[in-house]
Amino acid sequence: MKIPGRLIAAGALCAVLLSGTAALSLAGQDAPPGQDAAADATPDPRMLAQGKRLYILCQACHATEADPGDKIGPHLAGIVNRPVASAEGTVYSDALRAQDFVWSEENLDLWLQRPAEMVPGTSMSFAGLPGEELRRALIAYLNTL
Amino acid sequence: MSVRRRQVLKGALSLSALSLSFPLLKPVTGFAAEKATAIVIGGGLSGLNCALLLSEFGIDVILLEGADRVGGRAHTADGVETRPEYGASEVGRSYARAIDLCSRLDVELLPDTRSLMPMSNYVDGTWVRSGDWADSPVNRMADNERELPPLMVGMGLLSRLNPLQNLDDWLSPEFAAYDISMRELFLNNGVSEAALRLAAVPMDLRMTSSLGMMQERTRTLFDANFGRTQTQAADTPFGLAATREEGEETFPVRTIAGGTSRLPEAMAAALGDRVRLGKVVAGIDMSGSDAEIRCLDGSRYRADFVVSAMPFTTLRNISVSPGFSGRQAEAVLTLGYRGTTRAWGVIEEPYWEDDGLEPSFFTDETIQTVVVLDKLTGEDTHRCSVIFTGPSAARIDQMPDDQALALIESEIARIRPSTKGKMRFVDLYGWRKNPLIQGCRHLFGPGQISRFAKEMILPHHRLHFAGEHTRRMDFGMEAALESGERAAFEILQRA
Ligand SMILES: Cc1cc2nc3c(=O)[nH]c(=O)nc-3n(C[C@H](O)[C@H](O)[C@H](O)COP(=O)(O)OP(=O)(O)OC[C@H]3O[C@@H](n4cnc5c(N)ncnc54)[C@H](O)[C@@H]3O)c2cc1C
Ligand code: HEC
Repeated sequence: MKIPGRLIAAGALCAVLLSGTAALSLAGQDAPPGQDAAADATPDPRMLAQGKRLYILCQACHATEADPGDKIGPHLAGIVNRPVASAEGTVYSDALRAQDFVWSEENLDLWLQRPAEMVPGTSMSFAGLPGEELRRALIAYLNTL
Repeated sequence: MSVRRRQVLKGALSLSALSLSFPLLKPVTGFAAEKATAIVIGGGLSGLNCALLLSEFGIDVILLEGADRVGGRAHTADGVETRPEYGASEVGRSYARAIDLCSRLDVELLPDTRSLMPMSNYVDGTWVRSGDWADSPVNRMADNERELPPLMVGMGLLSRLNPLQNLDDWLSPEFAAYDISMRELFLNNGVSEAALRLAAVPMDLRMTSSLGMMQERTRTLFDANFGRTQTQAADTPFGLAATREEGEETFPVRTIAGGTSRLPEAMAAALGDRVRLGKVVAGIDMSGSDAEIRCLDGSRYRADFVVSAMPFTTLRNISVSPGFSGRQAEAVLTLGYRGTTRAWGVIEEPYWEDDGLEPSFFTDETIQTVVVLDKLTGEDTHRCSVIFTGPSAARIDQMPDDQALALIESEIARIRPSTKGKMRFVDLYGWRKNPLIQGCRHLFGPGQISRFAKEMILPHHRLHFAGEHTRRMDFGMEAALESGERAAFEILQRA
């Protein structure tokens, strides 16, 4: 993992420590620049690694294999372009079941900004992931599931 | 681990080692500091979850716990008759993290089959059965309040006034007008004096922010409705809604097989020698190029990141440099906490058959609430517990435990003579008296959410915050786990 992104992150950390503001927030965490090629078929491995780390926010509720196990949310295997509320073995909310769309990357991006805004009444208790770059990295990772 | 990052940090280290910081704090003699990338202080569910997640993501972590056991407010009194739960026991149906951890660590969850027996009331020196309460002359509440059982008055009225929809609405400025004391909210809404008086028995209305309690009601309702198609009200005296819909297979609430402590123990076992017990942290010095953590016993640890997974009641006692400032300092120093004290016992004979009242009871006197549980399958005695919360806990906590137990027994016998010789107490535990926790839970005071709920969890230099008081969306044990996950996430973004 010897990658420039890490160095930048360490630099950012120093800046935070020196300034003493430590205004670290989800929103403040932007990925390193130069990832505009995100739409490419083969995503940047650095972005994938970041997405995998971001999945810490989802892992308690969502299995990555096609079996939800005991997790309370649906599994996310093949989630990109999967029809909404269609995983076996999940009790979805009425609100989500009433929807009719597929989880395109655009829809996922909207969802991850604030699920309750996109589908009021959803039972996914997740406030949202501010930061477009972060969502892009996470969706890149979701694309590998 | 990134080799280059290490080099960068090393460079920084030698630089600042020259300039140096705090010679006075250097030990004259002492242990060499042990190093880790992250140090988590506090081995309750929040700290354990944080440490587990960090180590799963390859971060080298040490967890320092001041007590001689992990678990904090998850504490099963093993070895005591009836094995009381001093702290948490109910696992909600929507407790994503608790359920997932149990599954991963092979800790079994069982349906919570405990059920409360009906509750009579002793108000103004008069006994009233639950069914007679609404029309009783002792009940001087207003017409639209009379149906509420005395113990439920405060939470019942609050639920009616609760405008929150989403689990994080409490943090939105839109609802700041509700960040007032429950007393003020009730007065503004024409609540009767009689209702105010009953509502003030289990909770201190003046010291409690309505908004904070509304978040909990919203979270409780969310739990009750989770995975169900029907919405239903969920007002129960303690914790989660232990109701089951007709024909429903699963119980909404579960408990941990063998006791709640089995979960933190399994988490600690997964962390192995990364967990250090008996390490009461005294200082966190971040003025150098990393953080140095000093324990009361003189041992030292160094780390790039520190997580405070202890309540603010004890973080307050730790010397932190650079010190907290602004609203964060205000939060650490003034965030409210509340006590809960409980006594546990067994019923030797069903005293309610003698006096015709219901087994459980509420009083507006010293004894706040006595709950009697239905016999569990395979058991031949009923269990009971006496519950003191808020102001009534603060009062009973003024006595040593043995005196408190004796007083509880004599008071119960005085107001309800049929219990004499038929209730036997086995244990008592008060959370305010736990020196490393000093309360059963945080409790935002009026105005505190608007002042610092957002600021109080922002990382302070290398120090991150976890613990049930730093929750955003959750409640109870799940709030602790949620917060540990958030702190781990923050560190992963920096490490
Ligand atoms: C009576 C009671 C009933 C409850 N019932 C339920 C329930 O049914 N369901 C539910 O979901 N939740 C319930 N809860 C809430 C739940 O127990 C807590 O939210 C959760 O356990 C808190 O975890 P925590 O990690 O935030 O804090 P804690 O568990 O308090 O952990 C903090 C740890 O930090 C340690 N510590 C403190 N200071 C220092 C120091 N200076 N150095 C080193 N270590 C230190 C402490 O010893 C402690 O182990 C209940 C709580 C109580 C008290
Ligand atoms: C606290 C648990 C929880 C967390 C954390 C969580 N989810 Fe969810 N998620 C759920 C639940 C429950 C549902 C079902 C929602 C419904 O039925 O309304 C869901 C639904 C979804 C769906 C729709 C799936 C479908 O089959 O239609 C997606 C996509 C999703 N989550 C992605 C994520 C991602 C990505 C993250 C991490 C950033 C995440 N979730 C975090 C609980 C969670």
